[in-house]
Amino acid sequence: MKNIFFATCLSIFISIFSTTAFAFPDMIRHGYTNCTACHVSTSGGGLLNPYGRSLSKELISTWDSETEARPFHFVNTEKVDEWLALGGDFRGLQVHQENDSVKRGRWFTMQAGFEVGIIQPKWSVVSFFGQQNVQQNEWKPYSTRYYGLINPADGLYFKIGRFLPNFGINLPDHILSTRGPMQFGYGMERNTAEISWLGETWNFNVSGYKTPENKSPKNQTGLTATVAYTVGNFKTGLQFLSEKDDIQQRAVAGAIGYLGWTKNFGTLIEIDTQITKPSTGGPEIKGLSLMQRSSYEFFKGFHGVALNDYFQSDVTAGATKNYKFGPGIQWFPRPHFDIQAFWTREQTSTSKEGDYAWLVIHYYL
Amino acid sequence: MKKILLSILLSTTAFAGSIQFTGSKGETEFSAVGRPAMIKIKGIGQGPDGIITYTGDLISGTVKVDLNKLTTEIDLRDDHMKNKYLEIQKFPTADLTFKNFKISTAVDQLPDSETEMPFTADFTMRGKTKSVTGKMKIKKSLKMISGQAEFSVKIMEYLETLPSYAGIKVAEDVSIKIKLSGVLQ
Repeated sequence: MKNIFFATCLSIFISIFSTTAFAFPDMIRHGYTNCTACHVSTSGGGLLNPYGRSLSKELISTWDSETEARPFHFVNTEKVDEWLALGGDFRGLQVHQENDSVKRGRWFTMQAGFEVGIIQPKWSVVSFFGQQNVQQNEWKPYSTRYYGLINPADGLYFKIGRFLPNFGINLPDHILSTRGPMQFGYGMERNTAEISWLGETWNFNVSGYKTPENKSPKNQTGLTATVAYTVGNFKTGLQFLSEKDDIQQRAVAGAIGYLGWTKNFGTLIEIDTQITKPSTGGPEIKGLSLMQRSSYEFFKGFHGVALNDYFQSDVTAGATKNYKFGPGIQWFPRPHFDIQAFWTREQTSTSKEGDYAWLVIHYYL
Repeated sequence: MKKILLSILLSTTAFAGSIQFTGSKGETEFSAVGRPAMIKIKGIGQGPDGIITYTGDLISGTVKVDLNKLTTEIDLRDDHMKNKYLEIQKFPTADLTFKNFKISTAVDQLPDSETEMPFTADFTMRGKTKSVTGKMKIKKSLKMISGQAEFSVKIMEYLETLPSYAGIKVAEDVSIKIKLSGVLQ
């Protein structure tokens, strides 16, 4: 029974932690309010643009050398940088869980793949190739994420393809209640069309999507809308999601905050309320997720983090609660390397409070 | 009668003097936007050095900001800003010059709470001078004059090329805020 419980927990953990490259929204502390400063994608993550590569050296990493941030490290890509972007990610995870039911630890290779983009001033096409099946330890070379992006004017973007709709704070930690449990985790890329206005003070985003049949054979479709306002190094916003399939309907309303208190200290916070009900009618189930992540950059590239993460899929049922809280670090020692380690206390209804720790090694080309 | 005449004379006499501004006691801040990603670029440096003379409500003189003391907190960006665009080796300061500008209140009559007033001055950067208008808030406390001045410039009126790097271009309008701290002489 314990093994089944652990296996279930671990598979959930794996599924929500295996991710493509995601954004580093803490950059709000330095005045980077929109993901497109560093990433090709409007929602951040994945392929870096030339400015993002430069910033990985100038602002993010503890140590660096002159040419180290380039794709493939020291390969000079200046001749093609104006139209071709290359990247890729390897991500591995060491997890440790210990409570009155289980005590185990294990290493997983979560992700390995390449990403290629043709980048023009007014349009881009991007595709990520490669997927690690952590259960079978297999690498498959197909594309899990691809999109075309049109940028007819500064701030205005049209994006279409298969990707995660722009919803919530796009952190890589998909264990967080606001990512995986809200169905914005690994493997949840959808066939999506999106329009975004990413202005100096206002951000608007509307996405319409249909989940592929191999991921949801229930004819799932949805719509998201977000609006955010930036003043100084503070960005706050509201977000809404409406989704339905053959089985149920889901609605999410939430608020997000990117709070750059100082150039060293920032907070990311997201709270979402979720209502699900059967498509055929029936009682509603109300859920809640809250993520608060505050970080302090002790020296260039090295961040201490305090995490609070709460999820309850049914607020009337205490058995659905999961709360994690504790410290962590995030360290960018050199361009291409990103290390995260967290040691949290976990409260669930199925076991006494225990330890939940993880280490993520992320290497990006 | 003499006393009355003397008091009338004194009341109509414009007091004259000067204000010594010291850079280390003030601060200069500029805000720019990098497009298309709408990056907020903020630079901070010392306040202005220099002497402003006054006669009643007329002020004249030049204060200078040491551009080498400006920083945007990213070394490469600072290097490009100072050496590639501002050319601080040739043009080490940015200057704000007042020429008999009439402020709303005589300097010696300034209250100890901030008074907001518009101003016009000449702003010189990289050897080019343009007239700028803005607003300033100043107050007088004993012999101290303090406050701040804000104005905007179009950087292409001063620079040869629009600053850009790796696909990010600086928007033409840059706002400047100068925190002043001076002593009446």
